[in-house]
Amino acid sequence: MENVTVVLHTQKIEPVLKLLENSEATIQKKQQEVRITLKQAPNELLLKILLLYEDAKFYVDSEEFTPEFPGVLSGFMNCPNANCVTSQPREPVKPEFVVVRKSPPLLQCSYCGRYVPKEAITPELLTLKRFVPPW
Amino acid sequence: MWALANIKGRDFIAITDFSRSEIESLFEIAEEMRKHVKSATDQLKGRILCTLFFEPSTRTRLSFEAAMQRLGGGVIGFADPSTARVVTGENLADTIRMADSYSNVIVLRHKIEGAAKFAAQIARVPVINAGDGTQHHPTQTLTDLYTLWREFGSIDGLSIGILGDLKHTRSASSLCLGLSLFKDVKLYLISPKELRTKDEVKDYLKLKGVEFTEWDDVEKVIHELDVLYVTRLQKERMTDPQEYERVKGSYIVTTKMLENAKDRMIVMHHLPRIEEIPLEVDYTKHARYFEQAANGLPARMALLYSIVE
Repeated sequence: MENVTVVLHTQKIEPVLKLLENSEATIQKKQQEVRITLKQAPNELLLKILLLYEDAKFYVDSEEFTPEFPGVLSGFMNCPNANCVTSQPREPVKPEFVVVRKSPPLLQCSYCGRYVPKEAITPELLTLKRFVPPW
Repeated sequence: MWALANIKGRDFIAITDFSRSEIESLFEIAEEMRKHVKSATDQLKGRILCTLFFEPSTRTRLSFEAAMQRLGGGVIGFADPSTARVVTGENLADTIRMADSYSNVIVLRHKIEGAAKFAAQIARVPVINAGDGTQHHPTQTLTDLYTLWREFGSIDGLSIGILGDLKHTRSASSLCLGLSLFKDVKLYLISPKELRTKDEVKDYLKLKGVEFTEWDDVEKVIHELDVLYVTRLQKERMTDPQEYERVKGSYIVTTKMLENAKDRMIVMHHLPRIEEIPLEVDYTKHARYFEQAANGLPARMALLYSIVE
């Protein structure tokens, strides 16, 4: 999706800046909100923004839309549980989470079974830096 | 002809992988297996069980090995990972690939949560979870449910207290999940506040409509129970060293306490016990934990017989 505008009703934008490190984005700060215009906006990126900012609004050509929120998030983010098999860097495993609740977000790791509440979701968790097998 | 559970070739990662009817079929098969716990059969002759125990075990490993041998099969594997190539840094995936090629079924115990589920994705042969961290221990639960079924004739309608470290004990979490397969079970989750059942487990019970309440003191509810299932403090799984010191000795089942129990109330424990059940309780009419441990053999014989192709 091209030229998506994301509106955040907060001034705390460090987390989203970390997510956008490799994205082409224009950021406008206003008094009550921050507007981010993304040149390329894959659904996965929008979903990650939504997990960090549950009240984020998304627009294309001034028309609001909601990113697709699947019931299972696969190969998408890390598990915060260091004792989970998906946290072992040398195992060829694809992290997977079941969406228990969308807002406020509550995810459940399909491997260790642990809940991942909103408070545990950070940009670092949302940046998957590991080998993921093709299956 | 022995009964069939229709689970041939399937993995057993969580107790809820099997339906109530499949579990009850395993109970029937276990009853037939009781005739062979001191003799041999050739039902699994030529098949090999591979046991990979990355954590210590007494009952689970020994009963799996005895079960396979009583069924006429062979056993390979390790009880101590320091004797295997994992000490050189070999990952679990590669270890499982090897075990898969050498055996007909793998039994895995690992401190890493999700290890058995991951192993089952790698292996072509069935994988049986013998415990993964604080998460699942389905064959302990199979043994526990089988013990209840033998003792009471039915699990439906029982009032069951689970006492102790409900936060870290996988046998307790697995038992909660297993009991959700039965009807009208009333659960009393009794623990110090710091060691309450995980939210993930409680939410599952709510989803399945299981009636449960949480308590601090076993003495307040002991008169209502048909079963008191005791767990030990899982010191090795506590991340904060002070946590153990704070709760040490906070629950002990005494003979005095048992005077208020129903006549037919039984005390179970997944073992090993430390100080939560004093020795004198062993000689009361309520103690069933040694029978429970012994039931692990026919239960695991039934499981291997039903799973291994």
